[in-house]
Amino acid sequence: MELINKIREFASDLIRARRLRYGLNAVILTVAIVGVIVMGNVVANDYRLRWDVTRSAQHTLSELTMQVINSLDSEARITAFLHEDSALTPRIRDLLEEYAQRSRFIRLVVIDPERDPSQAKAYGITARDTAVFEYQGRKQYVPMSQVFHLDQSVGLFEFTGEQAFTHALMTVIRDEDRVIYFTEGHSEYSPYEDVLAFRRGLEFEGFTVRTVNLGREGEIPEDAVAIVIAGPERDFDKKEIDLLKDYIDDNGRLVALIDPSMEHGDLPRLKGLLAYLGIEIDDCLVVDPTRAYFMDPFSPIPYMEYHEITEGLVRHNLSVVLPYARSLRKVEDHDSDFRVRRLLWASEQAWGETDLGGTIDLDDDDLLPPLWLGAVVNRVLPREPDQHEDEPDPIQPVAVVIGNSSFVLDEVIEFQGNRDLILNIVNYLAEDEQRVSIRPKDPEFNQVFMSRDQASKMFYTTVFGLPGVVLLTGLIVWLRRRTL
Amino acid sequence: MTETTVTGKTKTPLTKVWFVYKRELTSYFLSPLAYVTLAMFLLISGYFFALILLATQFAEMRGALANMGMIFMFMAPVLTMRLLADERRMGTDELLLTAPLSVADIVVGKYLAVVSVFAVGLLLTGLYPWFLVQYGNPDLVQIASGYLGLLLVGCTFLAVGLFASSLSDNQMVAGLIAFGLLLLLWLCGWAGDTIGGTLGSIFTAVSVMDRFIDFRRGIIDTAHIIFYLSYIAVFIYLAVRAVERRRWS
Repeated sequence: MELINKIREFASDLIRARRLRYGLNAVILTVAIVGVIVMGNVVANDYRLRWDVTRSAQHTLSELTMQVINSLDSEARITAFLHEDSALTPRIRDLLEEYAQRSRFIRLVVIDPERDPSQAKAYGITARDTAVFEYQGRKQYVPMSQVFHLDQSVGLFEFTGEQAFTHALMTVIRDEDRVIYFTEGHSEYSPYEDVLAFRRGLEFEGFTVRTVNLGREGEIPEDAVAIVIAGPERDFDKKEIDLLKDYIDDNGRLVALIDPSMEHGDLPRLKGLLAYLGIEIDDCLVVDPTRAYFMDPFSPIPYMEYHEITEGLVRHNLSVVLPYARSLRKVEDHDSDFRVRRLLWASEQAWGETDLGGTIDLDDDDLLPPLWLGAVVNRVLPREPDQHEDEPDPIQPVAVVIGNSSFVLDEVIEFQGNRDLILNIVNYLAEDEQRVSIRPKDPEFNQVFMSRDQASKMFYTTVFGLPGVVLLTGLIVWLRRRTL
Repeated sequence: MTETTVTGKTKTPLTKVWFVYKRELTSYFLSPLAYVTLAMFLLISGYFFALILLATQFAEMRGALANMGMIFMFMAPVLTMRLLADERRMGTDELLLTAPLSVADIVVGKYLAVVSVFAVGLLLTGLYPWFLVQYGNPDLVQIASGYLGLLLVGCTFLAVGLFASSLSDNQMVAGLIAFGLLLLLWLCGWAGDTIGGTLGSIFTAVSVMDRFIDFRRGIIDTAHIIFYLSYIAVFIYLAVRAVERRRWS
């Protein structure tokens, strides 16, 4: 009896041991198999084949872009601040994803500035959608206004994202400082005292800010990406003007912020430089009783031309205020390859006051609208031989002139769109000669054309028709089974 | 290893799987479940497709396909819950397990059957691109690429559901487990986005829905295809192991 029990015990112990071994074996085998599959995937990730099968090859990056991407040898970070609900976001996101997928060095982070304002603040992003490229300590900001161009002649949007992004990448890869020089020596605003916020904004965007006293130094520094003249109170001398003229002729970029003055004949040489560019500044103070800051008619809020510079501002409904401004205009019959365009202008009820004594109202000496408050100067480039005659002339940014400089002062720059305006202006001018030319892809905005009847038919067929047919089939099958 | 059946035909492994497949597929289409599930899938998918089309007026299916993927995530547990769970409950598993069929044959055969049901559903949604062609100029290759992605994603969901049903005798429980697992998988994508650093990138790497995006955009990437096939293989394997365990207890 005892022996049988002992045998029973031994047998069940044996079976349990076998079960345990079998169980353990199974677990080890499973882990091993999963491990192999995971390794297989890691390998597959590195040695992958990726095909863009879209009709317009919209996800295929150009050769130039691939070259640039392949030249990376350490982590490049792209932080894209994009509003989720913007219609443009998917396209931009897709393109940036493609950059990230094509190189293991590129890391992409997409942030919605509304959902994560702290991150946006850390990068100094205000209203505009922007992509920040970082590489080896260098930064480059690409505002999304640079990525879509409204070709007004055709009314079509051109997506130049790849061009903008690859250019940004090239800029951060290049180990060069991009310096913005503020002129000094004429009581201009100093980036170290009066316009600290402006300077910090530029530095955030990867620029280095310095000052230059042209009279003393006698030359424009080689690394100048743009020169800013911020509110001079004294005129420049001839040598300085000649330096600036040569600089401009040699593809230099200029931002001129000139405050109003009642003195006729003030800043004659500086005016001469602006005239060279095709711009005449008026000796007046713009008074706008209808569009002004808190009803102070001396602080007009200008209308803005739809342009790369103002695109973000217009889209987010941001205004700009210019406290104490003078008007400017295009020089008539100016024969040069400079093209002047209006950027900011005052309302039809405004006027340019020429005499501040007595009451301020419109009299015969005063200037009538149209009163421009800001203008953009471009240089027209020679056309490419293969360019189609309907395509507009290729142009290059040269200068932006605004009839006010106090809008960039620390106390005023925080008003609505002021900061964005000045930073956009500098960014617009600072794009450099190595303008990357990547032909933009045709936007695949495939429209559907349905009449109300057709739309209706489509809706009912897809929502009710199709499932209905399936249910009907099921019903028939079920009924037939019941009658069997 | 071939065997001779009652009718004198030799049974190769392929015909064994075919046998299970046919049996299961017939069972699906004789029961109301497949029809109701497909109808629901088509109803909700159709609604989203129509809504998106009317709102955007674009001849594309990127949004619609994404929605279909999400919808199918809810449908998959419903379709798979009876696959391996109810055999045991109804006692028919005795028959199957004593027949000259390996567990793998059974599991794979059933899996292929539910995949076929899914495939029928997908084929029926062909109505949507048809409408796009009627009224616009869609990029059909891009849409096809999106469907390929949806097929792979759906098959992955079904494999997870298959595994879930191998874990329980009770269909309801199997369905709940499947739903729970699928939800976890879906959360991986979300976790990858919110959590940063290496942990975040691991989550993104294993996320099922993230890779679907490329297919919808018109990009076919071998790494993604291998990814989905891997998931499917792993879950089918796990299901086989789970059933084998039951057989031996």
